[in-house]
Amino acid sequence: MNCAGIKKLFSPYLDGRVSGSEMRALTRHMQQCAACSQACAAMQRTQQLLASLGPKQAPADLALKLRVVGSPHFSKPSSPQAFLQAITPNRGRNRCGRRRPRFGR
Amino acid sequence: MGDLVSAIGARAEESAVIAELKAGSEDAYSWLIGEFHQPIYGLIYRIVNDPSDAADTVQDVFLKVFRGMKHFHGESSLKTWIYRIALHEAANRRRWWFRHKAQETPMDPIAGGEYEFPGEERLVDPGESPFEKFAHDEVRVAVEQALQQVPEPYRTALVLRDLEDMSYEEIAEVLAISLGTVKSRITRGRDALRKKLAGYVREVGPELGLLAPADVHSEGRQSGVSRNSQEGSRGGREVEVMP
Repeated sequence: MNCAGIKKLFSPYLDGRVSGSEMRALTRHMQQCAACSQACAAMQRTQQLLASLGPKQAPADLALKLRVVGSPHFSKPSSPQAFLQAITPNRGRNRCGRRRPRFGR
Repeated sequence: MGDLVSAIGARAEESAVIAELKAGSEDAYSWLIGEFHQPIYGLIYRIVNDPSDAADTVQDVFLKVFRGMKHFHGESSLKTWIYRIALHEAANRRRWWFRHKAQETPMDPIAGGEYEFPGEERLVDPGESPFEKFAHDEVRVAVEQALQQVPEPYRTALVLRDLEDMSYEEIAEVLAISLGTVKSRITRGRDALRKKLAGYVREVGPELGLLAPADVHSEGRQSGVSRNSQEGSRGGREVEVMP
């Protein structure tokens, strides 16, 4: 594979998205080509710099504002137990779906 | 097999949440806001042209989510659906910005002091000196600014991959594009970002202690599949950059 073909693999390589044969071609080429090796390192640095920014923190009052905006849509108060049961359907049950025995009643 | 079982479990769990949302459960909406407002804000902040619009855009997104909930029938996952609405809304906001503000507002985020970094702990070394902290902040601002200059659709692909940590498959689903297109957009986005940052490093690198790697061959050998080896610029005392 020539330099142009190898350069297209740098980014997928950083994400672990190259096939076995592409990986072998990449490794073989980079051992012999200083320019590609340097270009790949630069691509990696760029990716690291971007990833190091991390998630952008939302303003502290945004969640509250969204609740206000949404309040007409969630007018029905529900019991916390019902919602917990909805998001954790196996709560209180074993892996077979049977209700766990409650001791000390 | 275990993965399949957990996938089915997650799907059933999501269906139950959606049913609660459709029924107008206040708790379900609180969960939805708590779960998604932060990542959606982060996404929109990085892809609209004026980051100060991000909070308003997020409100528009959630309003559409709340209004559209009764029409959502689980054709995709809840996350994919919400991200699609967010990207659509951000694209609308970008179009609006170009029509109304592009001529009147100079895009100079550093001079305007628009970037604040309350979430800066990822680059901060508690033992660093004021100069080192200043250097890290400088780099962070430069990277944010360079990212703003990466053209669409490459910027969105880059943000979803490197900042939202989505897989190629998730990105393909959210953007409704093929895996090959995802790969190519990320490649072109990273390349564009590298070119934008190269000028900055040449210009102010020596003042801020931004170092070019001395041995590019050893760097190349280390470079493995490396999302997990990102300590490069954080572990050491110097900020090492060479895009």
